Amino acid sequence: MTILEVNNIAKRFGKLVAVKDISMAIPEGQIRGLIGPNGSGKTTTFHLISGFLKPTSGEVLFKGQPITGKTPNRIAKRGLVRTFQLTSVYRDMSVRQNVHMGHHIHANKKSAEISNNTKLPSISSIEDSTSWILEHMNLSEEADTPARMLPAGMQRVLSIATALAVRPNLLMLDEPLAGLNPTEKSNVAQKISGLRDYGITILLVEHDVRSVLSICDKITVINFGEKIAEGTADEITKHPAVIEAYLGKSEGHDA
Amino acid sequence: MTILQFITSTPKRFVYALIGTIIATPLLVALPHALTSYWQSVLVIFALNTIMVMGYRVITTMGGWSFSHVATAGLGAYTTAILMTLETPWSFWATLFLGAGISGLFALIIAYPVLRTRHYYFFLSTFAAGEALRQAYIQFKGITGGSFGISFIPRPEGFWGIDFNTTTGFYYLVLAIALIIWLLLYRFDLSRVGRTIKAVAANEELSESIGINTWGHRTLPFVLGSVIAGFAGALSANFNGAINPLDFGSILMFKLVAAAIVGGVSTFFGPILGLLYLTALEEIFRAFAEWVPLLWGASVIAVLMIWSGGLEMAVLKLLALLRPILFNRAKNSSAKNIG
Amino acid sequence: MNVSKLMGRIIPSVVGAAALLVASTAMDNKQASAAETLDVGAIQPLAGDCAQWGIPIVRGMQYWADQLNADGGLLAGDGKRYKINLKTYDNVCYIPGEELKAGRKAILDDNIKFMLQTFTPGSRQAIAQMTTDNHVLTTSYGAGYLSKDHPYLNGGITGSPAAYMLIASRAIDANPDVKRVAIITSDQSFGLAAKAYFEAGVAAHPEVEIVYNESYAPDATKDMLGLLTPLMASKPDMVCQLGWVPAQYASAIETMEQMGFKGVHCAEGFTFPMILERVPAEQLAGRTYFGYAFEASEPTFSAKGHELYKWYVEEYGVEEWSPYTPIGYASMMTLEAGIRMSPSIDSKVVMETLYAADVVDHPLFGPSKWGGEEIYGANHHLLTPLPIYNLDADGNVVLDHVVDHAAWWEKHKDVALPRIDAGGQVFR
Ligand SMILES: Nc1ncnc2c1ncn2[C@@H]1O[C@H](COP(=O)(O)OP(=O)(O)OP(=O)(O)O)[C@@H](O)[C@H]1O
Ligand SMILES: [Mg+2]
Repeated sequence: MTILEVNNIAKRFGKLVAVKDISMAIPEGQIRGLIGPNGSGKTTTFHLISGFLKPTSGEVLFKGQPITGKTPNRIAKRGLVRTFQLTSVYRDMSVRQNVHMGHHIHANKKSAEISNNTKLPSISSIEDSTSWILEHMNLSEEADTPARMLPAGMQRVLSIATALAVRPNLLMLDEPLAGLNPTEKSNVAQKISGLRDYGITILLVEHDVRSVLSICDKITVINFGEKIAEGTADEITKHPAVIEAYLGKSEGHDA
Repeated sequence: MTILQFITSTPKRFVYALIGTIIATPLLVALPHALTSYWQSVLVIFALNTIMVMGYRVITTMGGWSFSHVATAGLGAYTTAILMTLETPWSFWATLFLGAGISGLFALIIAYPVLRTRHYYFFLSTFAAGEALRQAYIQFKGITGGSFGISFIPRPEGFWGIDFNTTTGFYYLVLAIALIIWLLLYRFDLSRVGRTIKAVAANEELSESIGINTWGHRTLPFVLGSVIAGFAGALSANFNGAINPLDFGSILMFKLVAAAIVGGVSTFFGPILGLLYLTALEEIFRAFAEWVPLLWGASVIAVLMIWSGGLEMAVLKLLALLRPILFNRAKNSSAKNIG
Repeated sequence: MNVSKLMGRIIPSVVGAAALLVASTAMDNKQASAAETLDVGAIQPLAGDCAQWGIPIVRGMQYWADQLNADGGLLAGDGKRYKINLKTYDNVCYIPGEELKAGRKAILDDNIKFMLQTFTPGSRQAIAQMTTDNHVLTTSYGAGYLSKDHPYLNGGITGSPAAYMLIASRAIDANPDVKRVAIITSDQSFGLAAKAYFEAGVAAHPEVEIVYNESYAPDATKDMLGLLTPLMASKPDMVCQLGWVPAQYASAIETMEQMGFKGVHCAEGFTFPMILERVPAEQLAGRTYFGYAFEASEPTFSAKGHELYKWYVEEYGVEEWSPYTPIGYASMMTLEAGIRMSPSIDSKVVMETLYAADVVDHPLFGPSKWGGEEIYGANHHLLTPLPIYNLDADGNVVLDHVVDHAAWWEKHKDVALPRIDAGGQVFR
């Protein structure tokens, strides 16, 4: 079943066309990569899907329902959650409070069992769910540290943990590996691919091509706001348009 | 939710606050009897302004520093003033709640344009909304009395042997309302909604992305704070017996903002502390009243430039320093007991 | 931060606050020890833009107190002499809420029983109840808000707005050629009151027609020519104006003169130094009628009043002279007359004695009757005679005429009162 369907979305900022025409369909349970050179429109595409920006044209369907033009919080309540390219956490809250806050939409039934259709462990209270997520994302030791005191890489992990607390069906991650050292990178990449086991579909924007190639089932490549290729890691690496797009730039994009 | 559940879900800090309030109430009730009539009136005005700053702080929790607060309070004041000076006057209590409601309604209406703005723009747009409202007080002469204002607003009928025409009697009315508002707002501040409002203020984008209705969580404190302002406005019209558009101008607004800056807004008591400080300055220098705004301004600048965090931070730091001392002493004494 | 650092900040502030507290209570004590003094309060604008009115008025009051004190104090009706101790309170530019705050300080904190405040109705109403409850006899340089419910508020002298009526009428009497009058006032409350009273003054002269009668918004004064062109187009013989600030009087008069106006100017007062810089005295001589309280720089109306001018000029310089100084001085004399007559200095007795007097012998204006019933529903306005002045060719202010206010009113109230009523200025 297709969880996300994007049909010919476009976004113009004045004269600049940031997203020209992008369509894609992501089946439930897939880990989809979205790559492209700097400024190609990846973050803008994220904004358009998650409701932070309204597309100039085109439509977005989530679980078969149109969500174009809806506010981000209503889209999130339906199970589509995104993280931000520039790390976004509640700086003055502790790590635990951040993740706790992530449970906002589940708080009205706080004494009841937290459940929706993800396969995340069903845990009876927000406190327990918070502890589970902290444990799972290896943040337990820093649980009481104010988020602003964490190293940049750890803040990134925290923002994924917070997004997870929403119990999304589709998690969109904007460069979750940026700023992490190689060990952290492989750890977090592993965590991300592990989320599939909880029934979470993932759309991943990442410049670290090696990680993308290794964890994504399928990859969409865009350039200048247009889709130029789509396929498995093998297909993509051989695709002439992709090679051209990336060779036109310096080799350092995967740093 | 059962009562038991509500009590057990009540934050500890609120329970302490409730106990503290119950202990302090007899003192606050006895206070005016130790004062001259002048200081009694100072006390009433302080209590009225405390209600104003408590409302103002609710608004600041959503991250915006409103400049329409005092003009909004004017709606409560004019509602009471107009309806209580009719040929067949309304009951004070009806006008009190109606006035607060109208203040809240006004906030709800201006929320749509005003809450789209942030930072200076929020400041400017609320300033503009407040000025527009003040102009309305001047222009709609037929009902507001224009620049003359409305005079000879009666006080409410007393009950339980309390005469609201006396300063002390009126103080009890203001005190009762202030204490109720304080307990409700403090509980609200500690509630999940209160915390969510602060989260939205801290990071609106992130909040929106995790499913928080940020618009609602910005509108709610704006409206709630304005309702509180409406209560204060209605009460002050009643206390002063006369209102005028100039009463809802920038002098009082500056005092509230200064109280919030000098006291700080991260704790509930910060702005009240700030207000206490400003009122103390005002009264100590009451023989040189024209210098008081200058002293207030200097205090604001001092806090902004040198002593960031304001009075509340000083108190918190002092408490943090005292805690280990008290704690050690407690430990020592228990050790002695064992020995 | 460590304890000593924090204490380093807190201790000086605590010590400072304590010192201020001690200092302020010490000040209170000092003044309580002086015997047989009578505290008199003044609520006026003391800082900012409006201080240009408030400060000269307070200085006039101070001179009044100093004169009495130099005499050994005010000889009251109880046979004792009282030194006058003047205390001032700021109303921050006539803001009613500030008037109330100042009133609380004066009445509740300092226990003042005799006071002067502005006639602005909003300000008077703000403290009306408090003055009544606490028996504080409060005078003003005009009628403003008066009511039988609040007898402690009175109008001590003719002042505003009644003077406008008398000036307009006198200027017409003195210039039989005047047939067409233009009235221009600001659209603020006092301007609208002035408009009604100018009309009332003109109404006493059935042969005279009002050809222009408009209020302007204060920001319209930026374009004086635009503002005055329609007025001049109505071809008036006399222009009655109110609401300009001093510099605007100068530019308004200059503009009208440049447009060829040859008629009469009437106003509550002109700041001649500024005007004469722009228009020569010969040109204006005999054409400017004004009056409010009395003009102390002119020696013939009152020798005693002229002493005020001499003192002021010596003290503050001639450039500082303000026509508002005599206002405070003359108004206080109404309270002085009451205290002299009353068997006791109890403010309630003084108030009753004053109102009971058929004629009050005002130390400056002479015998004056109470009036105001038709307008305010209470005879709490002392209708002092109004000296009206003019300018001579040397640029000196000369006394033109003294209008007997009470007699004028008796004679013309049938035509004047309807105009005042139509202007929304009757508050019975
Ligand atoms: N709010 C905006 N207003 C104007 N232009 C914008 C705006 N947001 C993005 N753009 C422009 O749109 C284009 C696409 O930007 P976008 O951030 O989507 O690229 P990206 O693929 O995420 O790049 P990166 O890999 O650097 O994150 C860029 O040229 C950018 O400058
Ligand atoms: Mg990007």
